Amino acid sequence: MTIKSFLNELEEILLSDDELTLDSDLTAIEEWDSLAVMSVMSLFQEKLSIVLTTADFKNIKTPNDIILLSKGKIA
Amino acid sequence: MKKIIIKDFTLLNKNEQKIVFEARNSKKVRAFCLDERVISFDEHLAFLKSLKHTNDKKYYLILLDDECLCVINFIKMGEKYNNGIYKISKKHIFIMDIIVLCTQMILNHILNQNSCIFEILRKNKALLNYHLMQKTPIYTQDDTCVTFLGSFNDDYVNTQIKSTKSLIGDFTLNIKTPNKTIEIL
Repeated sequence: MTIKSFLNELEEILLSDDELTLDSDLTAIEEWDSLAVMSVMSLFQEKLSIVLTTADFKNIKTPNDIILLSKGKIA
Repeated sequence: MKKIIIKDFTLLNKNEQKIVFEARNSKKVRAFCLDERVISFDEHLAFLKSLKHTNDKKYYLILLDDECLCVINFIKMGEKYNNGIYKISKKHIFIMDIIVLCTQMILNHILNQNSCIFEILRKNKALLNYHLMQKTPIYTQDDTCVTFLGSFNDDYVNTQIKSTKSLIGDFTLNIKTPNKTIEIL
């Protein structure tokens, strides 16, 4: 998966009208909540075959932090 | 140490009643409710009062320390309970883990059940994906809803306790019912 397509998927999950960047502050976005985390977990499992838990998101602040969880599968 | 409290709706104080009322009427919660109407505060109070006289509907407010996190409800459908949830706090990404843990605790300690039904509207994609990801068995489905049958055993509960600890640290868990307070953890 490309970084661009991941950011597009994330914008859709967050129902964001603004374009996300790698450094966007997710913690400032109201839609970044437990349901959004579940959607990202689902995306990782479906598209990247990576199983994440909520604990993996404990310190996530930006889209780039999420990309690091993909271990190179989003590039 | 953090404190998780599962509080029966009939025991809510005035502030908690107001917080739940505002959450229930919020656009986001109503969008995923079977009844999408905005309700009045009088209707809300009448509903809370009605819960004192039925065993077929159980509603609980989940608090983390003094913060209202979410609502979990159970409605009896034949032999099983149909589980519903809505969140109140927007701040925490781990609410779902606490919801799962509290659901298991209520089923085990209050309702004496080891399974329940989750009826999810298809438009609630995040929650639908969550159950599909968890491989929760599908019970029935139609164009609007998918119902899943969730079962819990001790291993599952222990895993959930461990997972919740990894997210919020050590915690206690109490259930407050009209008759008694049960100290679970």
